Amino acid sequence: MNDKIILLVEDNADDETLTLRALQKNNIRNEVVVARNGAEALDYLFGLRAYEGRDTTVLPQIVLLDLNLPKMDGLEVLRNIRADERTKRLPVVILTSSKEDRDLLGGYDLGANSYVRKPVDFTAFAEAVRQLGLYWLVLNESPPEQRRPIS
Amino acid sequence: MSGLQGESFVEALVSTRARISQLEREAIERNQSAEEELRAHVDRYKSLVLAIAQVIWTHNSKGGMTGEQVSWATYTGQTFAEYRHRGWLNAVHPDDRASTVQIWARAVFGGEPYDLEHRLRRHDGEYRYFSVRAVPVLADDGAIREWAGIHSDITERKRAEETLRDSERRFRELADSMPQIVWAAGPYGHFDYYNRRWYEFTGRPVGISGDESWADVVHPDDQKECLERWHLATQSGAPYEIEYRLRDRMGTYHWFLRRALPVRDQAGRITRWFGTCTDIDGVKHTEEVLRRANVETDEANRELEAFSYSVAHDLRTPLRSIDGFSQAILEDNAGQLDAQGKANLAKVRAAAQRMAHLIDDLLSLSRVTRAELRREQVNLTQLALGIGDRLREADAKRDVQIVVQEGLMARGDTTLLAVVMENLLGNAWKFTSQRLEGRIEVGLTSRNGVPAYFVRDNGIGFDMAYANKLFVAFQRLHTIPEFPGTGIGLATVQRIVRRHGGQIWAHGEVDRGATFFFTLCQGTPA
Repeated sequence: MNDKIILLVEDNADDETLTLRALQKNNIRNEVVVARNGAEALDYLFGLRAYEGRDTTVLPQIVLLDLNLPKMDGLEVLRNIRADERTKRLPVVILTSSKEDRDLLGGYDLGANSYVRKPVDFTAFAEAVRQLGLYWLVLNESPPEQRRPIS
Repeated sequence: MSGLQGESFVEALVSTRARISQLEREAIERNQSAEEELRAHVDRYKSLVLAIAQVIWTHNSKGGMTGEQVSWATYTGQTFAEYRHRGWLNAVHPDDRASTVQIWARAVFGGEPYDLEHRLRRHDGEYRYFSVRAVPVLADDGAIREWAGIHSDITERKRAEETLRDSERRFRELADSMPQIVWAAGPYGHFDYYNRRWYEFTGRPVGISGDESWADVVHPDDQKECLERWHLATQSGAPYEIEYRLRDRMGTYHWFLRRALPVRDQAGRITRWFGTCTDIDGVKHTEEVLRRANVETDEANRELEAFSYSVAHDLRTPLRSIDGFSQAILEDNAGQLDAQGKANLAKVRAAAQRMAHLIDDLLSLSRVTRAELRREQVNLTQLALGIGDRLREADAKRDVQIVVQEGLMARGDTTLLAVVMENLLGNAWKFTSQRLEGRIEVGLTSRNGVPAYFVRDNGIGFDMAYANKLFVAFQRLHTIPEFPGTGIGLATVQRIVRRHGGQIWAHGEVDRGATFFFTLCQGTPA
């Protein structure tokens, strides 16, 4: 189970720390790749710039996507993920502060698999992360790995 | 008794008179048998004179009546002694005598036929209007031998004219008393009438009409369309309506609604156009104010939207850090903290979480304003029962009886009404927490003829002196440890009810429960 990567897209360092802490508290020991803005997340997924040469057939098991990001916001990242043949089926969970209608609707319209609002109460947040881990890393069956075209 | 008939009759009369004169002359020359023939002619003349409706008479060359005037005597009732010479003038209305004499004197002097109108007294004393025509009868030498005249009764025509003048005057009075500009034009669109309002408004000299009268009063930007539309209307005969600006006497332009309708004769041809111009400056102004207000509201809403969005994202994030790292200290550094330190950190966490609730409630309050209101049939009974079940599930320790009236239907926004019921039932639940047997009742009554829904509880109630503070945001009647809350719930409820056009109010008594009533539409004022 540990080979399943979690891609955490989060610009706020505190939130990053707290999310990692919540994962740790729940004994979720998967590799967590942190992208600190939208562009970095896409670079990772498509093997660009800092991630040039990365084997892009290795996709994360789950993307935890914040919405309020510098440069490229979360919904834009999601749009790009869904628009690309390689990542269009990638499970994406929006994990953000707001539950404003336009974020919820925009997220689902663009094909988010789930939308979770981060509770302020850390105990509740840790519980949410535990459930997310259980569901997406254990219960949920990922789409079958796509065959690499024969070159 | 038409004028034409009268005139041709005068001609006949003149020739008859001439014939009589001739016969008289012949009679003198001839013998007794001719005299009989003359009498026959005279008799025939007299019969003719009496048979016709007009009054026929003769004057001598100096204007005096001589000889028997059968027709005159019959009509006026004057005797020979009364009408002879100038006596006939006494039958003429006193006010008309001077003008009659003047015209008559000129005619006699010039030897020309004359026409006049005057009032003549009938034998019964009634004065009636007559048109008078008289022609000179010439002797062989060309000198005026006498005058032959005919009076035709034109009283009915005069009355018809009078009626017409009256109705014309009434039309003008009516048109002049109107606050609108009234105008009329010929079939081809030539303006020939404006009411007083036009002259007052434009400051133009009274009486000027025609196309020049309006062209330069119309705003330059409206002239082209105004002219084109008017020409189109006069060509097609279609009713015409346009909004345009007219310049008043001070040089200020006002918006007017100008309308015109054609008047047609029996053959369907347009004989006239009647039109009005109504000052719609006030309406236009209001429209403009409304439009600007809408733009401003839209802008304010967009700003509120952006503000709320930013609050939703950015204000919660630091709270998560406060709460999260406080918890981290409690977990990781428990050994370094005494009981007081731990309690203080717990307070930090509680405050952060409370702040988060405040933010959520504020957002929900502002969402009520921003959200579009959709009215549909809502089953309040079902809604209330569902909320009651959830309250029981969340706080299973408590035993609260929730009684909801069957079949409570309302017209309103489902989502927003759910917020109303959640708040009211949530409050009732909260404020009955100190009761051993809590009871919450949801039902329907009426106020001013409209349905008023209510949520009643037997909780701690409130002092009516504070009733006006219940619905004000952040106003709380209890301390937080007593009854937790943000003080925004009832403000949100009130806003939702008002958005539906309804009202909310409450009755309460300390320790004896509270009842919240709300309507969802406007009733007649009590």
